[in-house]
Amino acid sequence: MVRLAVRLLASRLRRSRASALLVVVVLATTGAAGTSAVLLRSAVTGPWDRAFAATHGAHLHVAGFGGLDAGALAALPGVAESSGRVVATVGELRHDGLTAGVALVGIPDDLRVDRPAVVDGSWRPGAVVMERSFARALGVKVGDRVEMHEATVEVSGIAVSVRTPGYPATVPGRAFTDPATAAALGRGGPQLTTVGLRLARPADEAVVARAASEYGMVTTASAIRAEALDRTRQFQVVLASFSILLLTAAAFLLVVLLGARLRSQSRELVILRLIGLTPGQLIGLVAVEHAVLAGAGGLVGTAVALVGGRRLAETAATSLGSTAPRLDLSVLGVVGVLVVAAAAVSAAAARRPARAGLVATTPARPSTATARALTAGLPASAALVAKEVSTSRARAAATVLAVALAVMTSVAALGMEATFRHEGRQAAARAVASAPVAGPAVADADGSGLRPLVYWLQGALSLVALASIVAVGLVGIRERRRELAVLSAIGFSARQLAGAAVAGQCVLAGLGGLIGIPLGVGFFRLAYALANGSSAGLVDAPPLHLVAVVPLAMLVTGLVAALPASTLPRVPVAAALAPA
Amino acid sequence: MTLLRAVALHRHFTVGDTVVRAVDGIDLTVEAGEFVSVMGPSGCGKSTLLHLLGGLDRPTSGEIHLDDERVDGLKEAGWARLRRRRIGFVFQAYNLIDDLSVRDNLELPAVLAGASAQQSRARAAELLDQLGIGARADVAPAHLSGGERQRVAIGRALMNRPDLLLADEPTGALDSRATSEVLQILGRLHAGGQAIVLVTHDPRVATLADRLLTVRDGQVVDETRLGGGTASPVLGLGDLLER
Repeated sequence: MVRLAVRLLASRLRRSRASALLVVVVLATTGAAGTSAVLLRSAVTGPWDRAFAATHGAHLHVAGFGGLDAGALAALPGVAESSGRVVATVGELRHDGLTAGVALVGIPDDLRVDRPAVVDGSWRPGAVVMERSFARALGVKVGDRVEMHEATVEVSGIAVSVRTPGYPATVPGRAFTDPATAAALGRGGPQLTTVGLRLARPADEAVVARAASEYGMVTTASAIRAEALDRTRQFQVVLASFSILLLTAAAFLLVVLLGARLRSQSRELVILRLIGLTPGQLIGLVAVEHAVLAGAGGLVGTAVALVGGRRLAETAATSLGSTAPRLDLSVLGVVGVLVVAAAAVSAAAARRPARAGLVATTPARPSTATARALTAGLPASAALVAKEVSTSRARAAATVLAVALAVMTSVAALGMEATFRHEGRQAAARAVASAPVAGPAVADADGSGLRPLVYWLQGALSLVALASIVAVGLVGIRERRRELAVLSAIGFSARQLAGAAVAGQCVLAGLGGLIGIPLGVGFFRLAYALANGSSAGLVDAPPLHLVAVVPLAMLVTGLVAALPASTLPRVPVAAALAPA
Repeated sequence: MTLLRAVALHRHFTVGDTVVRAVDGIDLTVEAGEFVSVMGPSGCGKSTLLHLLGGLDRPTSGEIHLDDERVDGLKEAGWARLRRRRIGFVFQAYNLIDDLSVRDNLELPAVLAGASAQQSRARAAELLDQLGIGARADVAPAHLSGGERQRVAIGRALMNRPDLLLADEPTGALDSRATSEVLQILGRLHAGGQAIVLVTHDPRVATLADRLLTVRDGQVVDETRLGGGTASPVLGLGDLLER
């Protein structure tokens, strides 16, 4: 039986190479979407804690302008590790016409606790490493030169630190260098001494209380974490929502494609039963075939996503003030999940042809939409469009849902854009009212960090949706090969058939657009309320933009649907009409 | 008057290293109102010949003339227009559209050819009555017997009153009773002046025609004039109608 299964499998894959390749490509897209979603989830999950681990952060910071007894602090009961005295000199830093307050921290070579984690460039004696949010606000890159107390110094790196929630939540901004360079650049400015302590029990209130009563300025990691996460909550909610949407889209694509492929093969599956395969064997054969294809597609998609999706995850992590998520073997789990999902979905889809009677007993009902179109005296092509839209509900539902998903995310992005514009105008009005200064840009007051991410994700989702439309179109042509040949034999030209197919998809896209608009408005409102704690300041996308989404979706769908439709002239009419 | 003329028609396929000469230099003339049968064993190239004559396939070389117009060089859209108005097809496998009703299967080509809704409905009703399936107009083809489906297919082919009816093994999937019904219909059509080219491997069916071409290995190896479907050395229409 195993030998028979292998032979059947090899023969099925060999005979329908184009179809198998299409499935691999779409499964690769599914795998890429799934991997990107996993990477995004890993970037979004515990961003502050990841950066805390990367910097070996302190649970408790004690700071003072005078001398701090680091030895006494390290000896407090419950303290596991100490950074020792870390001295920062406060001054002004200038770059490219912008001036900002800076705390230049001298980092000893042997510092282990709360050591900034360099994410770009490197440590170099005599050069400074800028804290990332501060560098971004000043527009500083590795290799730039900055000015402090009329001395210029090169920026050799960008680092992440969890000592503060980041700039501009905490001022002054922070930069790091070796203690000697810090002293030289500081030139006698006020000095702030800090001791970072790692506790045996991170939430040890007794140590915190004692340090606060004996040494004054105390900051806990949990307080910094809460503030940092509060500031990045908007990012987190949006990114988490999109990662879920990406996963949903990937699953949707899988179900649509495999369902359509198996429908197009139902006749062949019945023949396999006629030669003696049991329903169970048939389902097993189909499941193994699609698991093999999913393995191939999943590996390709994951490889692609590890390039593109990794950049996305890094960008997301940066926006959340964290370090990039560490890649581990869990990404390969996407391939495993895809293989299992493909086997399960195809097995479920094969149940019908595997268990149905070998002779059709429930013939299809005639299309009433086509009959109405003919009765109404509409042109034959319009009757075909009516048939296209009304007779294959699974195909039609796939297109409607794919477009609805793309439109939903587009509408949400439009809402985000409208809200950011509104906030930007208000911020500008406030700035005019209170004499502007040449300070650094406040990150994300205008959504400059969130925007590209949302557009990138929205684009990725739209691509997945469009891939489903192409896949459904191609599989649909295969499924309807004989019918298209019949229509050709009675006088429809390939152009008319392609036109009807495209027009049908456009009609469905219009329906998908109408469904997607309220979903998108709802999605944006929900995400905004979750991210900001209330709907105050929320601005919906302008009605004109919303109205324009539907024809745009129809136009894009039409263009995309034209790809599979363009293969219609290649359908071999004579062969398709031959008795089976 | 010559309706169709094929000159030195070739259709070759390459399968691996082998060239298959499905149609290998066939000359054929069909007069207006003439009934021509093409007979031969399976795989001799007779269906390929029919597909070439109807533009469903393209010849490797050779000429096809419809009336005096050369049509073998027409593009796909040109052939589509010819099939729409001047050529009707009937297939062994019926090839009806499953999710259209019987009536809609008939009306679609008429509407495609520019008939109004009323005209196409009236013509469909007329044909369905003539074919004896008027009562089944609103059902799906899957509800019909093989013979009924083939009658629908013939009705569809006749909707636009084509000059030429091409029938590819129209009785190949039918039992003897249904075969008899279909042959009666074809005989009546021919009697009414319909030009028909019919492909079959069944000698009883082939001898209904005015002229019988025997094809083997892609070539016409014999041509016999039979006498208008009223006399047949094997089995005439009259015999069939009485069975």
